[in-house]
Order: sequence, then C-alpha cells, then structure tokens
Amino acid sequence: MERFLDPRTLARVKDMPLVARSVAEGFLSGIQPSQQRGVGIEFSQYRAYEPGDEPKRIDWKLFARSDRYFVREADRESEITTWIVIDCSRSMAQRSESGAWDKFDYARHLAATLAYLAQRQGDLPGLLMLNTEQQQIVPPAAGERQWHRILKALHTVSAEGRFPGDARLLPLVRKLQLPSLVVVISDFHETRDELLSFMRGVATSRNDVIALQLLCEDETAFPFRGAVNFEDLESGERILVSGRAARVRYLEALENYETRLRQAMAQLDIDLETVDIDRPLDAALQAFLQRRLHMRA
Amino acid sequence: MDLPGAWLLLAPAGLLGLLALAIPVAIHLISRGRGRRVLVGNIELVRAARKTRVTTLRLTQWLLFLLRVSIVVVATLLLARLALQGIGSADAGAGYVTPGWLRAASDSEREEILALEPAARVLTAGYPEAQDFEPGIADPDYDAWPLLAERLSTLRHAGKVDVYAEPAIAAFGSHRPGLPNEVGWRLAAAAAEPEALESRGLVIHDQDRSDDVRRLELALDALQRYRIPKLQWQTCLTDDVACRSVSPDWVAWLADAEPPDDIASARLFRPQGPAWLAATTDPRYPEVLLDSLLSDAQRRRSWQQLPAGVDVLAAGAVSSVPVPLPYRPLHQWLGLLLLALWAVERLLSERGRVANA
Repeated sequence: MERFLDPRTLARVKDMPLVARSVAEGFLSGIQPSQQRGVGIEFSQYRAYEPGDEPKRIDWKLFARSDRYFVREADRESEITTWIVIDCSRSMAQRSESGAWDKFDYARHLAATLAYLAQRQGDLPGLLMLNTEQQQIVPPAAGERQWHRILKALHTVSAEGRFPGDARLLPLVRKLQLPSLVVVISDFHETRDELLSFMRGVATSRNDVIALQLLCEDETAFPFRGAVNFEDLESGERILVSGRAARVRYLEALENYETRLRQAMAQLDIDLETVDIDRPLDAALQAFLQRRLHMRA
Repeated sequence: MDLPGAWLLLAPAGLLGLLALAIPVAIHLISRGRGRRVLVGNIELVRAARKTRVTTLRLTQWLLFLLRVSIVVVATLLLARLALQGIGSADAGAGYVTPGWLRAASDSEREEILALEPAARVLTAGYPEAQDFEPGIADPDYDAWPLLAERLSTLRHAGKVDVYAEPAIAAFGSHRPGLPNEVGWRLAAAAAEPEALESRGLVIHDQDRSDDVRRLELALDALQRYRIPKLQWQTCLTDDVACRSVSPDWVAWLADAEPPDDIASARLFRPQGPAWLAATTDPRYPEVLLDSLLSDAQRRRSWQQLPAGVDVLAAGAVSSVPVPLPYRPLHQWLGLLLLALWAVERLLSERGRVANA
C-alpha cells in the first residue's frame, strides 16, 4: 500500500485542514526521530549524565532523590521563522489533463501542510501570497491558532494576473531578509524577470531559501499527440502544435529551461526542488524538513 | 437547366444540396482552432518546439476542407443530375435505314440513301454507315425502334430525321419508347401502299359518356395517323337519327340504352364495362381498338402495309410535347468520383484521429 496519498485521492477530500494534518502526521510517522532533543524550554525526558555534559544541566532535585546524576532534556529551542511564499500568478492554474489539482491547489495544500509541520515543531510559520492583483500576508507567529489563520488566508487569494514586479515587493522582501527559512512555492514561469529578481532580493546570508518548483506531469512528459492548441494562461497566446512531432524539441527546451533556472538558483545559493504535482506531497515535505534539520545543525 | 459548355442539369432543384457546404465550412472553422485546447503556464517552451510540422498540420486541415467541399459539390451535382449534352452537329439532319429497307429497296432508292449527307446509318448494332452495311448479314432480331430511340436521345439532331423503313412491324419490335425528335417516315417504294384500306364508322354516344368518347377519338386519331390513313368516322348523339343515315362499316355504341335494330347490321361494338375501361389506359388501346374496327381480312392487310412500329400513344408526344434534350448521363462517373473523394477524406481524417488519440 502506498504510504502517501496521491493528489487524486486527496482532491476528493475537500477539507484542507484535514488533508494537511493527515499528510503531515503520515509523513512524520514515517521518519523516525521527528524531533531532536536537546536544550530547550519544554521538558522532554531525563537521560543519564555523561562526561562532557554541562554540570548546570544536571537535575539536582532528582539527584537528591535518586543519588544519581540525570540530565534534563528538552525539545530544542527552535523559534525559527518559516515564511511560506506562494506565487499566485495565473500560470499556477496549470494542471495535467488527468490531474486532480492544479498547481495552485497543490501549492495551497502544501503550504497548509508545511505550516502545520512548522507549527508542530514550534516554529513560527508565516504566509505570503503574491500576484499583481492581490497580496496576502500572515505575519509569522507560533501556535495552533496561527495555523488556522494561515488556512483561512490560503482561501482568500486566487490564481490571477502575474507575479508582481520589484517596486511593490520591496517592503515585503525586507521582512523575508531577516533570519528565517523561506519556502517559495512557484512554477518559476515568468514573463520578464520578476521571479528571479524576487529570489535575488530574498536570498541573503542570514536566511535560508528553498525554492519548490511545481511542475505537472503533462508539462514534464508532454504526452500530447496530434493537433494541440496550447494557450498561455497568462498572456492568452495560442500556438498550434503537432504534439508528437514537437515532443522532442519541447523536452529539450524544458531541459534547457530547468538547467538555466537551477544555475540561477545555485548562484543565489538557493536549493531548487522540482515537485511533480501529480505525485504525493512527501517529496516537497522531505525537501523542507531536510533543510529544516540542516538549519539546526 | 443549361450550363455553359455542354453541361446540363436535369434536376436543378438538387442544387439546394449546396446548402450542405455549410457543414465542411463549419468543420474547418472549428478544426482550424483545434485541436485540443491545453492551458500551459509557459508558452515559450511550446514556441521553441513549434517549428516542426505545423505546416503539415495546416496543410492537412486545408486538404480535408477542400475534400469535404468537393464531396458536397459532387454529391449535389449528382442530385442535380449533371449530364453532358448529346453531341452532334447543330443543324445537320440525319438519315436512318432499317436493314429490312436496304434489303427491299430498289437500286435507285439505294443510290439515294448512299448519297445522303451526312451518311445514313443503319439501325442495327453499332449503327454502321449505309455503304458499309451488307444487307443479309444483319441480325434480323435487332429491334429498330429502341435502337433509334437510343441513338436519338444520345445524339442531338437539330435537323430533320428521316427513317427509311419497310412497313413490317416485326422490324421495330414490341418495345417503343418515345422519340425526342420528330421523325419523317419513308417507306420503301417496293413496299408502297398497294391499295388504301378504307374504313368508315360511327361513334354514337349519349351525353354522359363524353370522357369515353374523348379517349376513343384520341385512339381513332392515332390510328388514322399511323395505321389507317383513310379511316373516317362521325360522332353523334343517340337521339340524332339523321346522323345514322350513312351506312358505316362499324359502329361504336357508347350509351346505356340498347342499340336500335337498324344499326345492328353494321359491325357493332360497345366500348364499355371494366374490360374496356382497363383497355383505354393501356398504351396498346388503339391496337386493341383496331381489332374491333376491322374485319379479319382488313386487319391482316393493315398489319402488312402500314408504317409499322409507330407507337401510337407516344407518337402524339413526338411532335407536340417538349421532350428533354438528348444527354449523356454522368451519374456513374460522379458516383465513382464521390466514392474516391470520400475514401481519401476518410483516410486523411482517420490518420489525423489516430495521431490525436
């Protein structure tokens, strides 16, 4: 049995919190140490004193009762600010012909799941949804209620227009430049340079940025045959193409595009993770958690 | 309907089928924006791939469009019964000879035939020219009348058509379709009328049988024209006693009352009752009538001597009713063309569909 539910199944569940929570829990139960133990506020467990442990961490009251040295362990202090940025441009409405979710649906469910994970880890998830028509900000905060705020915010924006240009973004970008983990969920299809310059603005030495590029199966496999009229979601431009004949060239073009994107991201020291929206959410979660663990180290 | 050139539409109403042209036009307009619409986030990738085979795609679509238009047009022409006008010189007359005439003709008559311009043709298989025809070799079983009818409806003789025939009904056969041209009948001198057959009659009727009388007179008229030139008759009402003073060879009694004794001596027949009614609608009615009018001996003579084979009913139409122009039907060719076009269209569009699937 598949451990992770694929989007086709999840799409039947209309309840986003339920989807996010079950995906997250399912994911966490899959990986063994879900949390790292160490110094922190919240008590987790006692462990025998070992040479090298700081003497101040010894629980003296327990020593008084048991005559043995124990060290208090607690969940690690985290309080990492996790910004989830969703590109809400019109191109995010792309989907596979047989797919259940479009990229935007996927992005929102992913954001909900990530926020849940972050909140459970004691992080401070924040949400930023952007397009030229609307922008929605949920400032980072901790706790279960924050997660609900994010869930609510996820429903207020739809995939319209384009990704906004520089000028409007400056104040927002500054917020992201603070020490934080920034997850940018986008298809990274841009008309000019707006996404790249946004990423350029966001990436600093103080924060960590993960770029999750959403691609759908139809986009990567190009299964079309015969006459296909491709229409651009953002510009409305139409191009008639013979599917089978164009396939090789298309895949080449896609490959080039991906390579260039990857290089551009590498220059900014950004991890680019390509996510297939027709696959279960775990690949994206994995990328996120790995990065998160990396930050702790 | 006449078209420019030698084309002819026998059923112009079939042109309404051109309305169906809207179908391929609609299909083309729909499929031009085709195929499937797929929304993509980044058209640039597709643009890079576009350069291949789009022209082929468009070409196929146009070709399919043209094929479909042609199919509709050809089908319409088929419905409108496109035909080629009969070929032939516009004003030349024509002479036709039955094999029997050639056999029976005198030398001088034969000279006259061979001198005809354009050359007279023999009414037998292949319509050979008269000088090439060897009398005696001809198959006597060919019916001259259908041959003549076919020849006349295929060729367009604007001029006078003369048929040289011997007065033997057997030469013409029993099937006599209408002829599109007026035909002059020339009997061979060798078989010229020996002695005119005479027949005088009376048609006596009462008021309410005028329909029967009209049909009877029509038939008598035909007989007079083609069978018994000296046929005479008089029509009078039952109470017109003066009219009966002549002594007729026959009397046609069309009245409900019994005929009086004084005319019973003549050959009396009463064209009434269901049998007669059925006979009047039969094309052979005049010939049936002939049986009643003539004595056996007379009948035998009439059979021998008259310009035989004239279809008495159709003969009326020969001169007065406008008959369709002679033409060459093209429906086999159009049908074949339609089939071919259809096959190509199917092939092309199925190929497209397979590629689409």
